Amino acid sequence: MASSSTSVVVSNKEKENKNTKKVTLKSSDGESFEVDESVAMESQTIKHIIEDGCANNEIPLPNVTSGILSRVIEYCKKHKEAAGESEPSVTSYTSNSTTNPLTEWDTEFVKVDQNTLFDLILAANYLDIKGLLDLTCKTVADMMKGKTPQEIRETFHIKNDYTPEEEAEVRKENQWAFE
Amino acid sequence: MEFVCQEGTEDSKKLVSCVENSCVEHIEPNQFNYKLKAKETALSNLTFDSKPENERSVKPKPVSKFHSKKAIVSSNKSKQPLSDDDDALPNFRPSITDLPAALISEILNCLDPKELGIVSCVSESLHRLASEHHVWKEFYCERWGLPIAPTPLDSGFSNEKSWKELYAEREFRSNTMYSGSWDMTVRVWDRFSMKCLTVLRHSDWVWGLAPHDTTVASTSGSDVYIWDSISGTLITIICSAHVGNTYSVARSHTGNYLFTGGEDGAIHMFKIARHCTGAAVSQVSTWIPHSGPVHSLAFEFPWLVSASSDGKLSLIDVRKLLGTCKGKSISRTKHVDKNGVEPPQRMQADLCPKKKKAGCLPISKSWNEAENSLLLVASRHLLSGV
Repeated sequence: MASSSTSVVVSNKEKENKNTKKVTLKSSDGESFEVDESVAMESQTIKHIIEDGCANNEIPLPNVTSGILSRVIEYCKKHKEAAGESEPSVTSYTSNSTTNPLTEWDTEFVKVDQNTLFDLILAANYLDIKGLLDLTCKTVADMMKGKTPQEIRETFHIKNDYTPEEEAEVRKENQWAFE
Repeated sequence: MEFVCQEGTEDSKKLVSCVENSCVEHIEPNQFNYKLKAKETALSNLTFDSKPENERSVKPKPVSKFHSKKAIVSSNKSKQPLSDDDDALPNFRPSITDLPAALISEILNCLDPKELGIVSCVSESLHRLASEHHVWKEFYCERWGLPIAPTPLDSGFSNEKSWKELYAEREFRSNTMYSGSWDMTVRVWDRFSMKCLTVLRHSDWVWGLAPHDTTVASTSGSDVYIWDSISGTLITIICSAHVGNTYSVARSHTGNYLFTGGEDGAIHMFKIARHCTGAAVSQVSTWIPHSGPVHSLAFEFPWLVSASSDGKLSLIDVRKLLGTCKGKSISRTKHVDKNGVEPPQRMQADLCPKKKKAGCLPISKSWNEAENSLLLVASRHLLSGV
């Protein structure tokens, strides 16, 4: 595979035995982020781009803004580190495991406003980062739990597009769920 | 998940040029939406939901491409170019419903059945997503295993229901409990509130119960009642089903067939056809395998097992019965002498063990020529060893 980075920097804080090649990720608003290739490869999308040899200069990510991208990178870094320190596991996508020390970090990580959360979901989906997608989806699901339909509507600003009759019917259909 | 990403990737490449150009020009809402819709299973009824009273304006952030389409369409008054403002306009709030359906599905994956049911009530589009979600099959099977396939008996079996409907029905069944008593009532209980929902009154001691779906069959004295357990109304009644008390009752899993066992040692099979005002009951078959009262029955198509105080179990394949006796059961069965409880002694110890099935417990088989059915009889001392 051709070296795809314009600047091959030997990092001073080498934690891994691997090549600490860097890649540059460019957000939709033009900001560039330089990250270790291994961290960037947490994203399957980026991994494929790199493996296909298309990452010559920078990898443009037009679907992700800098704000979100920086968070995603933070997530990937943290998880990569944790994976490196702990016993080698097949996959680092175990962010929801109760035995995983990252759980607390993850919980803090997703304490963001709704906009950001949805943007993270979209970014995780686009970049194909399973752990982040699972984490964010679960967070949203948790926001739905224990709420009545009206409360869910208010939380997520969803319009009630039922007529009163339809609503009564649907409610009856799902009556068992309310008990 | 891969497919969504791949499409996203392709999309993004197409949209890159859009975005880069969009700083100066503006994207036609329809064209923009079309690109997305072609790739995503977006919630179509939401994208064209323009609400004038809602102060949504064009979302400048390119990242929210997938959920900004709503904003773009609804702002038909102000067609502003997509700019690179970092701050969202204060009134724009992307909704969860702006996410592509696949991602909403992903979120719904984390919910359990009740929560999913509640989410169905939130809005029409969520209802659609939540109801068609594949997890309903998993929820159902996890709790009750795969449903029994429709059987030839069930000619009235309705068209395939959605997994969610199956789950909800079964859930209802599992919430209600029935009890019958010598106080001549059957009570319907709710599992959660632990309260009695309905009291069904009979004219004699209640001997047996067999619920099915939202109905319950009960035997009282020698009669068989069929009730609607939600409304507490009587659907139909079979009077004097047996000579003496009707001790036991069993139903097919579709509810169309009902079996009763009585003090006279006889077992009757009835067909129940529900219609809007009640039910039509017809007796399909009778056989009398026992010399003592039949105290319990169990049915799993096609086998009906009965246990009696004569110490015997009898196992009957109802298919054979139906095949030969369809529609003409009454004439082919032995008539029960209503004056005497004791029916003719049929099963005696001198049965000839003609064909012993390999692998079975030592039970003897005998052919019942009169009714052309196969009966397996076990004697009392063997039962105790089982």
